[in-house]
Amino acid sequence: MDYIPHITLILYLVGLLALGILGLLKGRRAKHAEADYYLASRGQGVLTTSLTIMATYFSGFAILTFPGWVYGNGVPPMFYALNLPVAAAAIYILGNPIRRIGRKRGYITPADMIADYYGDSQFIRGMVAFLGALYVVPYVVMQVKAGGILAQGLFPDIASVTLLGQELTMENAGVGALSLITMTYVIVGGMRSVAWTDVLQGLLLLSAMLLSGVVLMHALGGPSGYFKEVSQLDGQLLTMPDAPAKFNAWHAVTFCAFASLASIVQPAQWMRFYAARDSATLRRTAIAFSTILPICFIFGVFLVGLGGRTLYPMLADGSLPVGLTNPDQIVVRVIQDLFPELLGTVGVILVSLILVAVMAASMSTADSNLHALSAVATRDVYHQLRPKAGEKERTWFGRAVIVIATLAAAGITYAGSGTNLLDTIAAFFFLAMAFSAQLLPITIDLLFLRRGTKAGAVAGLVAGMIVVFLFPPLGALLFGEGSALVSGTGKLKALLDVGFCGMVVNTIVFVVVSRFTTPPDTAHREAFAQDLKNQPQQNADLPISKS
Amino acid sequence: MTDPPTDKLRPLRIRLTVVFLAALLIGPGLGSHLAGGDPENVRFLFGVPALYLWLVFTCLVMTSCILIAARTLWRDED
Repeated sequence: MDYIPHITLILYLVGLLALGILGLLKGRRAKHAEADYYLASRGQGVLTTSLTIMATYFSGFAILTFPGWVYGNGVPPMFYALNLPVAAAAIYILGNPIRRIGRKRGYITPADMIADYYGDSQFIRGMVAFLGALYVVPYVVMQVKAGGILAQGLFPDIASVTLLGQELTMENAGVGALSLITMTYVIVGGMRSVAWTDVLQGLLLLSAMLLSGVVLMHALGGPSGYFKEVSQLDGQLLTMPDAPAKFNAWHAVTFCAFASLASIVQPAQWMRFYAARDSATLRRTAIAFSTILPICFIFGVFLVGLGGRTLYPMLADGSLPVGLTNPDQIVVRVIQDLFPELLGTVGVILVSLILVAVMAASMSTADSNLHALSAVATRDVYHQLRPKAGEKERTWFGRAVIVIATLAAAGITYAGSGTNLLDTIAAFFFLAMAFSAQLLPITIDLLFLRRGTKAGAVAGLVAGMIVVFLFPPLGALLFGEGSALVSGTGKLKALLDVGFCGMVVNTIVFVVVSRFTTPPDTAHREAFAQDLKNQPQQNADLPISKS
Repeated sequence: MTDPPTDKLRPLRIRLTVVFLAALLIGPGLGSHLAGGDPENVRFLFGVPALYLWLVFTCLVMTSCILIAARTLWRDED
C-alpha cells in the first residue's frame, strides 16, 4: 500500500497537465488572443464558473487553518463561515454588472474598468494594479511554499531527493515540481486551463472537506456519540468569548461582512466575472456557493476540528499533544489515524486523495493568482508603456510574466523560511485581503452611485492603504514591535477586521474629497450607467464561445 | 425566467435585505452570546451545543435569503 500516495499524486498531476493541453487546443482558433487567454473568450458556463470561483476563494486555509482554529478555539471561529453567504450574494450583486459592462466595453482587468470610469487616469490604473499586486504576489509565494510543505506531509519517510547532483529536501522538491506543473498549464491554456483544473481541484477539495467530517462522526459513533464527546469539552470552547478575546463577536461580524467582499473584488475573481457567459451563470454560481460551501464547512471540516479536540486533547498547560506541532495539522492527523483503521485499503486511498486535495487547494489559488498577475502586468503596465503592442505580443509578454513570477516565488521559497524577504512577504500575505478591501468603495461608487471623483478615488485608496500599513504585522516591520502606534493598531485589530478599518477611512476620505472636486462629465457618467443597465447587447466587439 | 415588474418586487427586496443584514449582525453578535450561554453554564439543545445550532440557523436564514432572491429578484437577461 506504500505506492498508493505516489499513484494518486501522479494521476492528479497528469490530469492537470492534460486539462492544460485541452485548454490550449480549445483556444487555438480564437480570434481575440488576449480575451481568450485571459477570459476564455467570455464564455465560461456554470460548472466551470462556480468551481473556479470556489477554488480561487479558498487556499489551503480552508482545509488546514480553519479547522485548526476550531481545534484550538472551539465553536466561535465557525461563525467566520458566515462570510460565505455574503460572498455568494456579492457574486451576483457585484459580479453581474461587472460582467455586463466588461463584455460591452471589452475590459480584461479591474483597472480597465475603474480607470475608464474615473477618466482614463494612468495614476488610478497604476494604483489599482498596485493594490491587485499586493494581494496576488504574496498569495502566489505562500501557496507555492504551502505546496512544498504538503509534499513533505505526503511523503514523510523521504528525507531528501537528489536531482542533478543537488540534494534537495522533500519540501524543496515539492515546491519545484508544483511550480513547474502549475506554470506549465497556466502558460499553455490561460484562463481556460486554470478554470478547468480548478474544476478538478474544487471537486477534490469539497469532497475532502465533507468526507473528513462524515468519517470522523462515524468513528465517534454517529451524531449522538459525536456530540456526547463534544459536550464534555471545556465551556470556553462552546460559548462566544467577549472582546477583545480572539474570535469575539465584533471581529466575526466585521470579518464576515468585509473580508468576504475583499476576496470577491480581488483581481482573479473580478476577471472570473468578466469571463462568465451570462447572468444565469452568475446567478447559479451564487446559489451553488451559498449552499455547497457552508455544508462542506459546517457539516464537514469544522466537525473534524471540534472532534479532533476530543480525540487529541490539549495538555493542561495549553500546549499541543504529542504528534501535533501546529493546530493546522489536525485534519491531516485525524484522517491519517482514522481512515486506514476504519476503511482499510479504501481508507489509505482516501487519505492520499485528501492530501492531494489539500495540495489542490494551494495550487488552485496559486494558478488563479499567477494568471491574474500576468493580466495586470500586461494590461495595466506593459500596454500603457507600449501602446502599439498587438494582442499576440501582449499575450506572450503575459506568459513571460508567469515564468518570471513562478521562478521568483520558487526561488524565494527555496531560500528558506526565516529570511527577511520571506517574512516580509508573509506579513503582506496576512494583510492581503485588507489591501483588496480598499477597492470596495470605488467599486460600489462606479457600479451603483457614480458620485465620486478621480481625486476622491485616488485620495481614498491612498488613505485606506496607509491605514492598512499601520497594522501589525506590516506596522511592526515599519515602526518596530514596541512602538505606541503598532500597540494601538494591534489592540484595534483584536476588535475589528483590518480591511474594515482601512475601508472606513478610505470611504470618509473618498466622500469628502469627492465633495470638493469635479466628477467625470455628465455624458460620460450617463454612458457608463447605460452600459451597466440590463439591455440587449448591440455591436458586441468580442466573440462569445462556450467553454 | 420571467421578468416581473420591478416596483412590485421592491417590498420583497427590502425585506430580504433587512433579514440578511440582521442575520449577519445578530448571528455572530448578540445572538451568539444569548444562544451559547456562558462557559460555566453552556446551553445544549437535543444534546448539541446551542452555539453550533445557532450558527446553523443563522447560516440557513442567510442562505434562504439568497435562494429566494435568486428565484425572484435576480433576472436572467441574456
